[in-house]
Amino acid sequence: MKKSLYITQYCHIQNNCIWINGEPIFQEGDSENFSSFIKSAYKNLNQKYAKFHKMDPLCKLGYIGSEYLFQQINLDEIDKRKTAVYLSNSSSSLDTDLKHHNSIADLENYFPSPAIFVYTLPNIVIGEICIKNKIQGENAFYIFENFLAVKQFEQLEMLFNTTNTKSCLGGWVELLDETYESFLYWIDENPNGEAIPLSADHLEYLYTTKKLL
Amino acid sequence: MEAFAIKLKEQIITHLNLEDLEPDEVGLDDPLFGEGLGLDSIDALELIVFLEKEYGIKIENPEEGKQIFESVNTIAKFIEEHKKS
Repeated sequence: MKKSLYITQYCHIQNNCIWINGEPIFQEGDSENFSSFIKSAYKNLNQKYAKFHKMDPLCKLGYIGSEYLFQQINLDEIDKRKTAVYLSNSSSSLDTDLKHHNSIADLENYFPSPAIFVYTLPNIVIGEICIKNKIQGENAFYIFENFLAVKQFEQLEMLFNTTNTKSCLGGWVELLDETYESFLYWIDENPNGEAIPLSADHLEYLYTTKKLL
Repeated sequence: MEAFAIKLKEQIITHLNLEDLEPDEVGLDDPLFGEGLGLDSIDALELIVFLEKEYGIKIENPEEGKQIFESVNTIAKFIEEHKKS
C-alpha cells in the first residue's frame, strides 16, 4: 500500500518577489538584476553565512528559496538522515558552464577559476542546501524540458515508498542569464496541522497559480 | 610594505567574494584558513590563480602554499620577495 504524502509548505521566487504558501513576503521592486535582488533577499534573512557570496546564481536561487521555506519548518524536530532533497530544472548549470567556457576561451589570458568551475554541475545546489542544514538523506537533481508535475510526483512516490525517507525538499530551480524561477515545497509523511495531499494535479496547480484555493 | 599589504587585503576580499567582510575586520596577521577567515580548499586554489594572474608569480611547490597563505602579511612578503628576484 502506497504511503500518503502531504505538501506542508511551499515557496515561489520569481520577478523580484518571494512568496510563501502563496503570500508575498519579500519584494525588491528596485532591483535591476537577479544579482542585486538575491543579495537583498539574503540581507533580509539577517544571516551571516559567508559562503552565500561565493555561490553561483543557480545555487543562490536554490539556497534563498530553501532558507525562506525552512523558516516555516522546525528542522530541529526532523530526522535529517531521513530527509531527502529532490530538485529539477531545464537549464542544468548552463549559466555557470557558459561563464566558465568564456573564462577559458582566450588562450592568451588563460586563467580558469576554480571557484567558478566547482559550480559547473546542477546538483551542487543540493550540496549547498544540505551543507547549510546538515541534511544527509537521499538526493537527486533531474533535468526536464519543462516543469513536469507528473514526473516530480512519480519520483517522490518512489522515493518515499522505496527508501527510509520521511520528509523531502522538492521542486524546480531554474536560472539562465536574467531569467529565473524557483518553486520549492516541503513533503512530509506525518504533517502537523494543515497540509495539501501530494498529487501531480496539486503540484501543477501550486506551480502555476501559487495558491491552492 | 604595510601599504602594499592593505591593498593586497582589499584585492583578496574582492577576488574571493568575501562580501560580508569589511577590510578593517581582517588583521594583516590573522590566519586566513581554519578558525581565522574560514577560507577553504577552493579559496586556496583561487589564491594560487590570483597570484599568477595579478602578479605573474607561480607557486611551483604546492607544499609551500601552507606557509605562503598563512596571512595577508605572509602573502605580501612572498610577493615582494618574488617580484625582486
